[in-house]
Order: sequence, then structure tokens, then C-alpha cells
Amino acid sequence: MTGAYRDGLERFATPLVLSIAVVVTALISLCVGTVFLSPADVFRWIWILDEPMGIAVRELRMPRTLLALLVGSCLGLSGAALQGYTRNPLADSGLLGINSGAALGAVLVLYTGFMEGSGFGIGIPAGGLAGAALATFVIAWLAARVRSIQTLILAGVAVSALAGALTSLVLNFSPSAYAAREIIFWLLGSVADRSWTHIGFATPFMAMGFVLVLTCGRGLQALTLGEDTAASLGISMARLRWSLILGCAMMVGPATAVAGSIGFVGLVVPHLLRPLVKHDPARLLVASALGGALLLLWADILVRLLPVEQELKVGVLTALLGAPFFFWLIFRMRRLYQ
Amino acid sequence: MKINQQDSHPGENLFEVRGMGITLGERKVLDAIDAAFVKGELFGIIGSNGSGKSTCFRGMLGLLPRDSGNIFFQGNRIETYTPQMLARKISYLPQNAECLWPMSVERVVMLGRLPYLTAWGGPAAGDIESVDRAMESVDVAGLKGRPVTELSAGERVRVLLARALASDPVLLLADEPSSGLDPYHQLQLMELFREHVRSNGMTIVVVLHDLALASRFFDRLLLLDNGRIISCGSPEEVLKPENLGSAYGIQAEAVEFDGERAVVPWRRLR
Amino acid sequence: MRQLSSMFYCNDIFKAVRHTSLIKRIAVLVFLGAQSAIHADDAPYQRIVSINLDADELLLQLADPGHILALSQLASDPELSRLAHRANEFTSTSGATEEILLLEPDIVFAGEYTNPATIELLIRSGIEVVLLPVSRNLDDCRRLVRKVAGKLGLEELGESLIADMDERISRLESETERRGTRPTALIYGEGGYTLGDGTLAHHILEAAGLENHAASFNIQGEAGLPLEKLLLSPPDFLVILSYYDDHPTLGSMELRHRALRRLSGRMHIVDIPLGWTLTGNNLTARTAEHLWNKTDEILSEPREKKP
Repeated sequence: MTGAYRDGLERFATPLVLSIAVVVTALISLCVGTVFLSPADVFRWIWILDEPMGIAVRELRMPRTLLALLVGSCLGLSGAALQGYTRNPLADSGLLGINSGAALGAVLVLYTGFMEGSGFGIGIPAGGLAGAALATFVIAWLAARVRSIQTLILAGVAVSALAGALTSLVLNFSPSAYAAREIIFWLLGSVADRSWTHIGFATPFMAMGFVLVLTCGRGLQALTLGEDTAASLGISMARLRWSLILGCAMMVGPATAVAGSIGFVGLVVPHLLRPLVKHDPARLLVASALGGALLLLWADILVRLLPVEQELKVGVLTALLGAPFFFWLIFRMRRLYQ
Repeated sequence: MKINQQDSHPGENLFEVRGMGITLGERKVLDAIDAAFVKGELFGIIGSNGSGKSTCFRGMLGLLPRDSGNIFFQGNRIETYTPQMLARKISYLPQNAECLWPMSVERVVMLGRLPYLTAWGGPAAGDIESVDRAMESVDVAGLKGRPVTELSAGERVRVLLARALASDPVLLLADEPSSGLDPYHQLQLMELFREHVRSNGMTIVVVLHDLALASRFFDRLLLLDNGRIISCGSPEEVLKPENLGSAYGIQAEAVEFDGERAVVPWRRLR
Repeated sequence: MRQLSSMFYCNDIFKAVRHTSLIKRIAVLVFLGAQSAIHADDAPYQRIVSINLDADELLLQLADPGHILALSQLASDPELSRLAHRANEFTSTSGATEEILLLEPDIVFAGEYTNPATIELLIRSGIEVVLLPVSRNLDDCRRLVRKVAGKLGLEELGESLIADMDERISRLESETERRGTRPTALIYGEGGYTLGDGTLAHHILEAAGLENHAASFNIQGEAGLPLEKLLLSPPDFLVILSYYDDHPTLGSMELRHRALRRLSGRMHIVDIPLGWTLTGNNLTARTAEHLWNKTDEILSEPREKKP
């Protein structure tokens, strides 16, 4: 006769296990590279900054690992939040065009020289944020008016296509000889060879967005039963909407600005974790953040381990894994949700 | 400012609407609606399709902006309550309510306790008690572990009703809860409503289409037509032939059985 | 390498065509006229258009300025062209078919990777089109000079350019021998790629008395290079292909990675304009000279770098 609500510890089990997995995976990620290191070696090298291996660990592997962790958790969390808010199991920042919007914003800032001088300034994540916010707003506006799951996804496709085309346009105007190469980055995303500078600029935004979205748990629970019911349960729909739009934009925007558009993490992770949190949209949030970090960390480890001449972009791998999952989901959904 | 309920309000009305008008887009959907629900009554709102029944509910709950009018709850203007306070006292079961995720019945019912829960804490003993009581009262305790998406229509309506009851409200607004249910479950639902009104002193307001159920189970009825009140009072009073004729364009026959009276729609008038 | 050069010619269609003022052009004609007095009016082509950077550089050295109707708009870009200062004085064209037709040229120099539809249309309009291959080594460079000079009926002038090139190359060779060392160097471009054997850049490094470090990573042609690999096996010189430092791009940020700066005690960073490694003609010798000078200057400095 003991229901889930009587078991206080069970609520913490899933996040705890996921957290441990994230820490262990992050450690593995630090060990993987051109040269494989033992965890003990990693800790030794971190402090030796005048040796190439030390520089590699401190300036390459650490930011890379941390970035995979941060970006993954942002994508996972935003996916869970968007699925809850749009009441659409197919929602994902990539599919809804928010990643593309963020890429456009970042590209605009970067290539128009809008931000003075050179170097990676606060302007790029801010541009990503603005682009993501705009795309999220369009999608949220639509989601409030159109109940159909298919329509929302189609709108996402349209937003993606438009933002993608505009990104190409901006890159065409830029004097860079590398336009084509860079379009590929923005489309597929990667956390390879990023620096602490990237993390320094993106993290404050991400952290704010993270907290903002986590406060939406109750609202998302209530929304399970529809907007009217949620409102009758004392949830302010306007506050929930703005928290989510801003929160997701603050996470996805800067994440895309530093790592390009990495798709499907936000789609796959909440689905895999939902049974573990008893389909509770609030508990799903923290779990998806951890799950997203875990997935992207593993994907990034895998691209480094794959025996191919040229290292794959991690976005290629998530798409390769995510797209078939998406298909499977479409088929399963007909049975489960309709 | 605390307003004394007895002074500010005549009578024993739990919930009162005065002169409510609502415009959606260009259309005046509701005009000059006056209604009052007293403690412990089962109140029905009837009317043809598009007569403004659901809009009336949503206006009462503050989900839609009003052009005019005031709403009082327990003698005070509804604006004096915080959304959370209202959510603890008034429950709403919208039309075609459904649950998106395959959550367990127990969890769905627990959503009714949201107005009492803090952002991060789990449910307290009192919350679990209320949830159990609500499930018992609508006879879904046996389903508590089942995913709500796998239930039959009748079971689902009862689960969602349990959710609405879990907040221990004094007033429940239910919008067409019986649509989509077979006669057996329709009767079961009405009996549940009546039982809650009689035993707990709850006030339940139901929007419904079925005139037979309306005439048999409800203490008072309100008949809406084109956004205006045609009639309000006891079922006999409201379901008079001229009212039904103008509101629905039908003629209905009254049947009596076991000392209870029911109205059955018989033929169209226009 | 291939993709990059082809990209060059289709990338900038949005750029507006710059028209130089007439007076300026006349002034240049007068000035250059003295230099190329040998060119008579019986030159085989008198209305020449180039939409290829290699041809731009060669025409500027070979052709009678009065015969050049337009050069590609890349020609006046100092980050790409070694003769940008001279190209400024000519009309530039984006390479759009319509634009070329309106110029009414009798010959057009285009690249191997120019849009085939453009080429076909030009040929059908009765215009002679010369397709220039991409140079992948110094012999290719020589062939290219001969091809363009031959077309213009200026074989002798062409040979003198090649002789000058060969002289510069052999001088570099003997200077390197005199120095006695061949330091390693690695090309590093935006977005983290390098160029190995089979690319012109490789031969530029060799001519500049450097050993291409890409070979130690088993890299041939163009290939991406993770920073970590570079870090763990740094070359003596990191040759960064610069391209508009004042227009930040995502890839250029990689060139400023703190990890590279931390390595500055172990490796020297020099940069050369990206375009100089893309076009291969007699001027490639000057690029090698430029690189030789830059690296030699650093090598002859007493080592005073911090550890």
C-alpha cells in the first residue's frame, strides 16, 4: 500500500544516481584525448602549466568537458521544460528552431562586427540569447494558440529554415573565406577546442536560465491537466510563460553561441528519463538537466574514440543517434498520446 | 482591509456574480449575468450550444477578463483573494479535461494539492490524507497505481474529479463532466455529486446538456440563452415548456418515477 | 584546398562592384604605360577580363594596363592578393555572368572551379575562356605563368618572370643551406586545420627552408587538427593563415586560444595572409621569401623566451 508519495527517499534516488554518473563521466572525459591518461595523471597534470600535457589538460580538456556538461544540461533541461510547456512530447529546442535562432543571433553579432574589436566577448552569447528568445517567443505564442502537435513542429521547421537561411546570408556578407566551414559549425555544433573564455561568458547566462526554469516545476505539473486547470490551481500562466521563454533562451542561446547547434539532446533525454521520475514534469527537470549532461559528455567522449581520420563534430553524433529516436517516437506517440 | 462577511453581504451566498459581461473578440458572449450559489447545493447551468455556459465558468474563475460586473466569494470581492487562496477553495474541472503524460492516478490526484504544496517540499501527511479521501470518495482508490492514460473514459473522469476534490474545496465548478460517458457512468457521476453536496456541505455547479439528469438531480438550475439568463430557480420552474421552447427550440415531456420527476426532450419546434 | 579556392570565386557575389573614378584610371594608364611600352596594339587580345585571383596577379605583371577591362574583386584585397595596391586602380568584377558580358571582353581568365554555367555562357557568346588550374606545387606555378603569358603572346616576358622566380627560390635554398637548419613549421588556419603534402602551402614551407610538421601527424592535403595534438607535439613555428583580424570569426577565435598562448615559450607564431597560399604563380616565390625572412629573423634572435 505504499505509494510513491510516501517514499521520500525515492525522489532523490534518480538525481543522485545521475549526478554520480555525470561526475564519473566527466572524469573519463578528462582522461580521453590524443593521449590517454589515468585519473591520477589528470590530477597531476592540472597543476603543471608549463608542460604541454598540463596545458592540454587545463586549457583544452577541462573546458571541453565542462562545456559538454553545461551545454548538455542546458539542452536537456530546456527540452524537458519545452515538452512540458507546449504539452508536446516532440518539443526540443533544436526541432522548434530555437537553436537556429540562437545561432543566427550569435552569427549576427560575430560577423557584423557589432561587438567592437576582436575576441570572444559577452556580445556573442548575448546575441545567441536574443535570437533564442525571439524564436522561443514565436513558438510559445503559437503553442498557446494552436493545440496541434504537428502544427507546432511544422512551425519549428519554418523557424529553423528561416533562421538557417538568414545565418547563411549573414555569412555570405561577411568577408570570411571560411563562411562555408563556419556554417557547418553552426549547424552541427561541437565542444572541441573551446577555451575557458567561452565558458566564462556563457555560464552566467546559463546559470540564470537554469534557475529560472527550475522554478517552473509546479507550473509544469499543473499544466499536465491543461492551461485552464493550471490557472485554477493558482498558477500564473503569464509568469510561467515568461519564465520559460526567458529561461530557455538564457540557456540555449549562450550554449549555441559557444558550441553551435547541437540537436536532439533535448528531445531524447526527457523521454528516456520520464519513466524514472514517474512522468512527473517537475521531477523531470532536474533529471533531464543531469541526463543531458551525461548524454553530451558521452557523445563527446565517443567522437574522440571513434577511429576516424577526422574527428566528428559532436552534433553529428547526437543527430545520428537522435534522428532515429525521433522517428521511433513518432510511431510510438500515436499509440501513447493520441 | 478585512470585510466582515455578514455586513458586506446579504444572505448566505457562497459565491455570487453580479452583472457579469464578457466580450470575446467582437462578440458579446455574456451580458448582465447575475447568479448566486449557496452553501451545500447542487446547481446546474444549462443552455444550448454556444449559449455561453463554459464562458460563464471561465469568467467566474477569472480566466477571462470581464467587461463589467463583480464577483464575490464568501462575501468578499474575488480580487481580494490571492490566486493560491482561491485555488484552495474553488476547484475547476474543465470540459474535455485530460492528462497528457501517463502519470499514475495517485499522482494526478495529488496535483489537486498543488495550492498547498511548497515549491520544493514533498507532500505532507495531510496532503496524502486528502488525496486518499478524494480517491475513496469517487471510488478510484483501486486504480491509484495505474497510468491515467490507460483508463476508460468513465474512470478518467472520476480520477480528474478526484483531483478536483483533493484540494478539499468548498466550491466545485464542473464543465460538462458527463459528456462522453455512458448512462451508467453518467448516473454514477450525478450520484457522486449529490453525495458530496449532502455529506460535506460542498457546493457543486455543473454545466450539462442532459435535461433528464438536470431535472432529476439538481437543486437549482440556470438556463442561459445567447449569453443572457432566461430563467433561474428550481428545476420545475426553469424547465417550463416556454423556457425550453425559446432556449432550445424543443418541446419536452415530464415523466415521473418513484416520486422523482425528469424532463425528456421530445420534439423540435423549429 | 580545393574547396577553399573554389569558394573564393562564388562567395562574394553580394559584394558591390567598385568602380574606380575615370581620372584615377587615366592617371594609372599614363604611369603604367611607360612600363609596358613594349606591348603594341597588335596584342592578340585587347579586351581582357579576369575572374580568377591567379590571373589577376599575372595580368597585372604581364598585360598592357589599357587592355585590362576588369579584374576579380579579390585582386584588390590585400589579405588575398600580393599586388592589391596595383589592382586598386582597375575596375573590379564580382564574376557574375551578366557583368562579364556587359564588359564585352574578347578573353576571360577563369579558374578551374568557376561556375560551369558561366563558362558555357561566355563561350556561347563567342568569348574565349581560359581556365586556370589550381597550383599545387612550384612546377604548377611555372606552368601557370607560361599559360597566361602564352595566351597574351608575351612568352618572353613570361619566361623572365619564371627566371626571376627560380632565382629567388634557389637563393632561398642556398641561404637555408648556409644556415644549416630546417626548423619545423605547421600551417594552422581558422577553424583548426592544417595543410600537408600535396598542397601549395607545403611547398611554400619547403622553399622557405622549413620542414612541414604536418607530416609527423600523417596529414596529407587539407585536414583538421585538434588543438591537443598540436599542443602535445608543437612545431618550431606555427604559421597562422591570417584573414582579416579585425573581422572576428568563430574560427579565428581558435587561433587566439589561451592554450596556444601558453605554449609560446616552446613555439613561435608567425602569420602570413591566407590568400598568399592559395594562388600559385611566380609571386609564390615572394611568399616563400617573406616567410623565410620572418622565421629567420626569429631564429637569429638570441633565445630569451620565458620558460
